[in-house]
Amino acid sequence: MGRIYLGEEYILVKEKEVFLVFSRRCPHLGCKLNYDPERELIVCPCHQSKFTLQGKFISGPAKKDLRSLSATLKESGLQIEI
Amino acid sequence: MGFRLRFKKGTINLTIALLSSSALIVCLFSGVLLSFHYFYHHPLISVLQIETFVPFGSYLRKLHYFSAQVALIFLALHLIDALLKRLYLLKRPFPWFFLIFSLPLLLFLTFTGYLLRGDEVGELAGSIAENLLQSTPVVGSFLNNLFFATTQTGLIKVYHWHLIGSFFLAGGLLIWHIKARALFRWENLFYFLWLLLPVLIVNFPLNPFQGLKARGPWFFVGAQQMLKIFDPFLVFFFLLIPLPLLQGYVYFPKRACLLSTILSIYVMIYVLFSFSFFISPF
Repeated sequence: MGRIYLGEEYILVKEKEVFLVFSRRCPHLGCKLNYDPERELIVCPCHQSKFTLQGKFISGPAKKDLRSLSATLKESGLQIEI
Repeated sequence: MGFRLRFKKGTINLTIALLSSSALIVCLFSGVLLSFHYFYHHPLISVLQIETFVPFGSYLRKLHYFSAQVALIFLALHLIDALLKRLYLLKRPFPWFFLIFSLPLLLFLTFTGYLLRGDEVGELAGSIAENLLQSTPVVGSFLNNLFFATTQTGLIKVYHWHLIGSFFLAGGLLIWHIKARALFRWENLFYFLWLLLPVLIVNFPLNPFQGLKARGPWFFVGAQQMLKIFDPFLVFFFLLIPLPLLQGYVYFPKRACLLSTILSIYVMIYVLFSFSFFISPF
């Protein structure tokens, strides 16, 4: 996947030198989101809501963007607040 | 009581009744054997151990799954059979309620069994159930805390309700409804034994991952599709509609035709939504 990493509860996207972190729960009914490498989209497997890698809502029943999580780059690594 | 004078007692289809009850008993016994090796704190590891280390574990798991589906399908057919033959006229409202309640109870048990797999598919179904209840006003949060709350407590509540529900369903039906002496006969052995064969041949859909398009249990697919369009609490109330309609047969037997029409339309709508899952583009 390279610039995207799916954690248990979060999605980490590396955009050039910036890290974007989102909750892995779909804003619709809380299903765990997956990554579609062919279309480069974040997809809800339950009801097919689709999101860009920037967390923006594209289509489906979710109707909301993905919830952003706070992330801080430290010497020891990336610290994500869930 | 004019309707009673016109009523001719129909005979229940014994094959359907025997298939349902024998499958329920096979499901119960296979479930008891599986429960010795299942630990709800580590559901996925338990399932993998059952599949790999427990003698006949994989077979037992498939048998438990298959017998539950057979029991569910034939219980629904048994209910339709009873409605067509107007056997509700022989029942008082309270016993009739418990008989029709056995169908949603078995649906609940099959659904909780789906969650107890503890894999990705089960987890997705659990998330939907939990959020579906939480978006239901007034009672939703209470019901979620009572039955699921998987986010906070894992599968502990689901597992215990699975056991309690199974005990009440099998116990209740065997004590008050199924005639044990009629069921446990040598000539009925076939109804139990045939369940053992398809499990040897058919590969049942028990895969732990479903990638980008996950499917819930087959009877939940219609609701899954509805959730794409409608508000979750509307879907929740839609799913409850059949229960008062079925109970209505006892209170309004003269309106049986109307009730049957509404139920038929309901089932058609649900089946259409279910099929739309398979034809909808990704």
